[in-house]
Amino acid sequence: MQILKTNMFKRCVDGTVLKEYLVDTEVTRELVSYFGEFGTVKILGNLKQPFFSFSKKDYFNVKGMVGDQVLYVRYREEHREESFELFTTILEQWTPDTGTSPVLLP
Amino acid sequence: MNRRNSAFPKILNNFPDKFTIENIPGDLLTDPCIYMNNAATTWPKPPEVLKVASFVFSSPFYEHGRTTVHDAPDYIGLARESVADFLGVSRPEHIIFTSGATDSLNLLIHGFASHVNRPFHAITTDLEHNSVLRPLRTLEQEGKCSLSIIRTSGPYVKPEEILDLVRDDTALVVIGHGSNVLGSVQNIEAIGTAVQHSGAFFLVDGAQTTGQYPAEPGRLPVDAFVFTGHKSLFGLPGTGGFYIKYPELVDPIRQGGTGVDSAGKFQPDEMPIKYEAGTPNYPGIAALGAGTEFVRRKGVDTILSQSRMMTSYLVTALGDTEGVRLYNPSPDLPVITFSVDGMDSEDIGFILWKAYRIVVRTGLHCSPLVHERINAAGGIRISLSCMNTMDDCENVMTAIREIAASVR
Repeated sequence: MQILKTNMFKRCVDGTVLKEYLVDTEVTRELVSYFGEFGTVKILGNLKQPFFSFSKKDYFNVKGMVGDQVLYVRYREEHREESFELFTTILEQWTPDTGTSPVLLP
Repeated sequence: MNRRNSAFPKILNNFPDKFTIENIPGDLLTDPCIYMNNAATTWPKPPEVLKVASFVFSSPFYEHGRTTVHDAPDYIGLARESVADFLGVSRPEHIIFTSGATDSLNLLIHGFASHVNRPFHAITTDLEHNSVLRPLRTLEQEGKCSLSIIRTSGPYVKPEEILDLVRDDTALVVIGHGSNVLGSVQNIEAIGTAVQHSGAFFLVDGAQTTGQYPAEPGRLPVDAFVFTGHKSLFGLPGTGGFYIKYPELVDPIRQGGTGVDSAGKFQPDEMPIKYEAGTPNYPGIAALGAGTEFVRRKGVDTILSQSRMMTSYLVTALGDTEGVRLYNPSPDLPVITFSVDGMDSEDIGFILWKAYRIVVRTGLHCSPLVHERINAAGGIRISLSCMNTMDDCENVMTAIREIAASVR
C-alpha cells in the first residue's frame, strides 16, 4: 500500500498530533485484520459502511471506514517520530494480493 | 487598470492549496448533510442574512463616521435598534456589538473588576462555559477575586443556592441562561431578583438562548446580558454583543478609534462608543441585524414550539434505544447530550459524519465542570435550529440505532 498524501490537520494541547493519510487503495476488512497483528483492532462491521479503529498502545490510534482511502491517525507525544515511521512501515508493507507481510517492529 | 483584479488573486496563486475554493473536497460543497451542531453555530443561514452580508461585502465601506459616503444605510444603527427591540431594551445605545459572547463576557467581567478596583467575591456555577469560567479564574489567579462555583445536582440553579453563598464582599454573579450541554434554561427573573437584594452585579450569558427562547433582559432584573450573533440569531461567526443597564459599573477595557470625538485623549464615556473601539465588523453586524429580523418575523414562540416537537421526538427515541445513555431527558432547549455504551463519543461523531453525513459535536463542549458530573469522558451533542426538520430527526435516529446495534 502506498501513501499518496499526508496531511497534519491538528496539533492538540495534550501533545498528540492528528494526521490524515490518503492511500492508493481502499481500506478492506483484510487490511483491518492485518492491523490486528500489531495492536488492538475494533470493527463495527454491521454498519452500511463499516468503521474500524486500530490502537497500538503508547504509539498511535487509527480510525477510518472500510471502503475509504483515508486513514485518521492520532500520534501520542512520546515516541512521536518513531511512531510516524512505524505506522508508515506497517502501511507500506501491506500488499492486498498477498495479505499479511512481515513487519520489523521496534 | 481593472481595480477588481487586484493583487489578491496573485496571492491566491501562491497558496493554491490553502486559499482556493476549488481545493475544498467536492462532496463538502455539493453532497447534502444533516446539520445538528447548531448550539455551536447555526447552519444553514437564512437567505436574507446571506443576501445582506453579500451586499455589504460587495459595497464600498461606508460606516457612518469613518467615510465620506453619507447616503448609504446605517446598518450598524439599524442592527442596534433591531437587537434592542428584540431584547426588550428601550435604549439602543445600551446594546454593544462585539466579536461574540466570549468577547462580551471578557469585556464585562474584566471591565467590572477594573471598575471595582479591589478584591471581591464572585459566584458562578458548574454549568458554565469556559468563556465564563476562564475569565473568572484568571481574575482569581491574579488575586482580583475569590470565586465560588455552585456544584449543581440537576440541570437548574436555585436562587437560594446563590444566596447561600453570598458574602459581604460578593460583587458579581455570572449565570448562563441556557446550558450548552444539558439544554436547561435558568429562571433568570427569580435568580435576578434574589441577586438584586444582595447588591451584586448580575451578568447573564445568553449565548444559547437568544433567538430560540423568549427573553427580554431589558425588562428583567439583570445588569448585563450577553448574546452571540452566530447561533440562534443566525448571523455570522465573529459577531455578538451585550446589553448593559448601568455602563458606569463596567470600565471599558479597550481604547481606540471611535470615528467621533477624535481629539479626545481618552475613550469617550458616551454609549455605545464607550465599549466599541476600532472599526466594527460591518458586514457581520449587518448580517446579525438581518438574522434578528428573520427570527422576529418567524417568532421565538413558533421557533420554540417547533424545536420542542423535534426535541421531544429525539429524547423519546434515544431513551428507547438500547445502549444509548441520555444525560438530559427533559431539555428546555433543543440540545440533547448522550453517549453510546462501549464506544468513544469521538468515534460516534466520526461515524455519523463519515457514514451518514450527519454533523454533531462530541467532547466536553467547552463546559468541563458539568461533564465531570455527568460523564467525564465527554458526550455526543445533537443541537437543532428552526432550519431542521422532523425528517432530519428521523434520519438521525435511524443512524444512531444502527450504530448502537452494531456495538452490541
